[in-house]
Parts: sequence; C-alpha cells; structure tokens
Amino acid sequence: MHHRIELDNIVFSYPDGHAALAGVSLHIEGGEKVALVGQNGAGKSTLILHLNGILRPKSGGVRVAGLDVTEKNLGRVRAAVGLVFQTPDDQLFSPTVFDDVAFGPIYQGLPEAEVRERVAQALADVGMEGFGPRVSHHLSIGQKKRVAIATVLVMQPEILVLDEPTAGLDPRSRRGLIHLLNKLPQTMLVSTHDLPMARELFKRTVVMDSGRIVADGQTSEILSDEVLLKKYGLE
Amino acid sequence: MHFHFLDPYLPRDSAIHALDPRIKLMLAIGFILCVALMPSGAWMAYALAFALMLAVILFSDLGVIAVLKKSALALPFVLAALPLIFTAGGPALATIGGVAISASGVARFVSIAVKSWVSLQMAIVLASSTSFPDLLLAMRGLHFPRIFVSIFGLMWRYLFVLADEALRMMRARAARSGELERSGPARSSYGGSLAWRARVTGGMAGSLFLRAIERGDRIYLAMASRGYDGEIRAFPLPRIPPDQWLVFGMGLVALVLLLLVALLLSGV
Repeated sequence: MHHRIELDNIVFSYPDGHAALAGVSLHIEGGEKVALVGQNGAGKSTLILHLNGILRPKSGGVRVAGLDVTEKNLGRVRAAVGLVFQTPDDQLFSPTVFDDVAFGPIYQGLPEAEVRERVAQALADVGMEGFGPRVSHHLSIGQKKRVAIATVLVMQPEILVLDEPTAGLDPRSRRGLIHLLNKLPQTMLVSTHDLPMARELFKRTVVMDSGRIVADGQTSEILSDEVLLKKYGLE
Repeated sequence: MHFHFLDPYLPRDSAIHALDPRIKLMLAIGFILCVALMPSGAWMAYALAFALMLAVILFSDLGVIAVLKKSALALPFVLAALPLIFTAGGPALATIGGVAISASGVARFVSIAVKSWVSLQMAIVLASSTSFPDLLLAMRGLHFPRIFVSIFGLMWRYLFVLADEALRMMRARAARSGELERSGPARSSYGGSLAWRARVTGGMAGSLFLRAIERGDRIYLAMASRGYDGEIRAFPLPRIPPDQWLVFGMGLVALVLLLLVALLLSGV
C-alpha cells in the first residue's frame, strides 16, 4: 500500500472558474518513476499540488502512501510526500542553507542532534556537503536546485514529486541532477519539458493536455509516436 | 497557481459598468468630496446620501449585501476618531470613571463613522465596476500627474507578482510541515517552538522584501533597455459620448442638491 500514488477522477477548478483538471485518474506503484509531460497550462503543476493536499479536488479521491489526503492526515501526508517546487527561490525562504534544510525536521519536532545528522546526510546526498552556513540567496541555480531537493530528502519521504527539475540548468548541472534522481530510491513523479531526460530516467510517461491525461504508457513508445507528440505540442 | 483575492473588479452587465471610467471616477470623487463636506450631525442628509449610494449599488448589479460586507473594512479606521468622544468638550452626556463623555463629541464621532462608511461604499462600487487598467486610463484622461499614474500602474502590476511569490513561499512551507508517525517525546514539540516559527516567518518577510527590491532593479533595467525615460506614452483616449455627459451632469446636480440639503438642514 505504501509508496503508492492513487488519483481517482480528480476534478479541480480555480476560484476564477478556470477548469484546471477535468477528471484525472493516475495510479503509480511503489518505487515506480514516472515522467509527467505536457504543454504549459496543461495542468501538471495543479495536479502536483494535489499530491500533498495544498490544493483539494472539487471531486474525486487522492490517496498517497496509503493515506487519504484529508485535513486530519495533512501532516502525515506532507511528511510522506516530498514536493520540490519549480522555482528554488520559493522553496528556499530561510537565511541560510542549513535553516532551510532543517525546517522540515524542526517542524516535525525532532531532537536537535537528529536534525543536525539528517541535514548533514541530506546535503551529502545531493552533493552539497559543507554548504550549511551559506546564504541560499547567493548560490547558483543548480546549487539552489540541489538544496531544494535536500530540503525534502531530509524528511525521508516515501514519494518524491518534482516540478520541472531541469528548467534553467546548464548542461553540467542538468547532468548532475539526472544522476541524483537516478540514484534516489523513492517513488517519483516528475513534471518536465525535458524529453531526453524523460527517455533516460523514466520507464513510464504520462501526457497531459487541457486538464486531462491523454496518453500513459512506455516512455520509449510515447516519445517515438510523432503524431502524438505533435498533437500535444511536445516536439 | 495565482493569487485571486486582491482584484476587486467584478464584471457585470450593468449600467454602472458601462459608464465611461472618466465619468465614474469624477462622480465617485465628487460624491466622496460632497459627503466629506457635510457638516457633522446632518443625519437627514446622511440618510439621503446612503439612499443615493444604495441606488447606485442596485444599478451596478454588484449586490447590496456583498458591497455592505466589503465596506466593513472602514470600521477599524473609524477607531482613529474615537478620542473625539472624550476631547470634544461641551455638555457631558455621561461620566465613566471620572472621564466625561461629551454629547457633541459622540455626534461628531458617529458622523465621521457614517460618512467614511458611505464614502468607502462608493470607492468599492468604483473599484468593482471598473477594471484597474480602465481606472488608470481615467486618471490619465483627467490629467492626474503622470508619475502617480505610472506608480499606481506598476504597483498594481507587481502587487500580484509579490502576492503570488508570498503564496508560493507559504505553500513551500506548508509542503514541508510534516508530522511524524512515531509517538513519544518528539510529538510534544510538533510544529516547533513559537519563537522558531516567528523567526521562520520573519525570514520569509525579509526575503520577500529583498526580492522585491531586486525585482524593482531588474524591472527598471528592462524598462530602460526598451527606451523608458520616465514617461509612459499611450494612445489618445476616445471621446466621451454625449449621453454619458448627460449622466455626469445629472450626477453633479444630485451631488450639489445633496450638499445644499445638508447645509440647510443643519442651519450653517
């Protein structure tokens, strides 16, 4: 049951009436790594924000890591699902890298020794050892991205959800990030426009368009279907 | 993922919405000026002004209850006039704990409260029935100083960006505010200490401030690189149709009458 993402017929519209998700069903098994692709405005980010209850569906059910996403479960859900936002500047709101990475564990009420140990481990996992006292404001985008991932790894989530992790990265930082994602064991849903990365990292790809899932299958098949790619503006 | 709550504009198919924004802006300012000039204690004239206001709300199709609810915003500001109750002098209405409550002070306080409340309703109808870009055009058309008009415009543009940024930061914080499955000593400190949370919030406010300053610089550079020289140029505005001038004239007459009634009734 754990490590799983189960979405059943999710419908969501924004307060201005704009319908962002028009019935989305998606099941991802534990340990599976899935790419989520689609044009800007297709509903990818909206879908992602449902996975830890920041947005709630108008109708339909969201279950992650075996937990129903309800008000009561919100704290547990947010510990189980690590969400990495697209813009690292939004994710990094504390004065130093350490403060940012330590936010989750301190919030959970862990003792200080464990917090320090976990922060060191998370920074090591993303190859940012020793960056704790640095001011996140002054890091490069690639470094900020790594720290942003560390801020969720430190909570030891079962599921990782990333929104366009390679956007704005130079080739070397992008390569480093792909290696990092490849070695992480969590269930993963990654929204991206980076189709070569999807081909390299993910066996399964889900295509969204206008708030719907329009294709779901083997990455190799989807990315070689030129008619489909053209139709949904992906080439 | 955008901030939706700031924009007061509500598109409707009403006569008020269809008025030229310049006419609306002039009449709204006229109304607020007229209400401000009414002497204190002119209760009859206040009732007339409120009746006129209700008529405008009904015409605007915005919903009387909705506008009245929003106008509750005026209440905290009214408190600034509260000391008048004690300081106005004149015959005392009552004495509480040795402090005299002046009768004329109470009358003036209630007058100020009613007047600001009615004025705010007009401002709400103006902002709800006119989109902000139209309001800016109206200000330009009425020859407001251009620097103010462009400051208002930039403020409006980036208020949303800033609010969006704050919203995204708060989401990022919420996303990491997890709960432990295990029980024990850790449970008691769940959520962190109050001081720690206050420090986190302070850090967020600080980064928001820094980013706003930096964004301001970037925006200025981007504007300068496209030839900005301190003046925003725009196309000339269309003429106001004659029937709208008629509405303006009638509105003006109503406002003058209202003010006359107020002055005559209070015998100034």
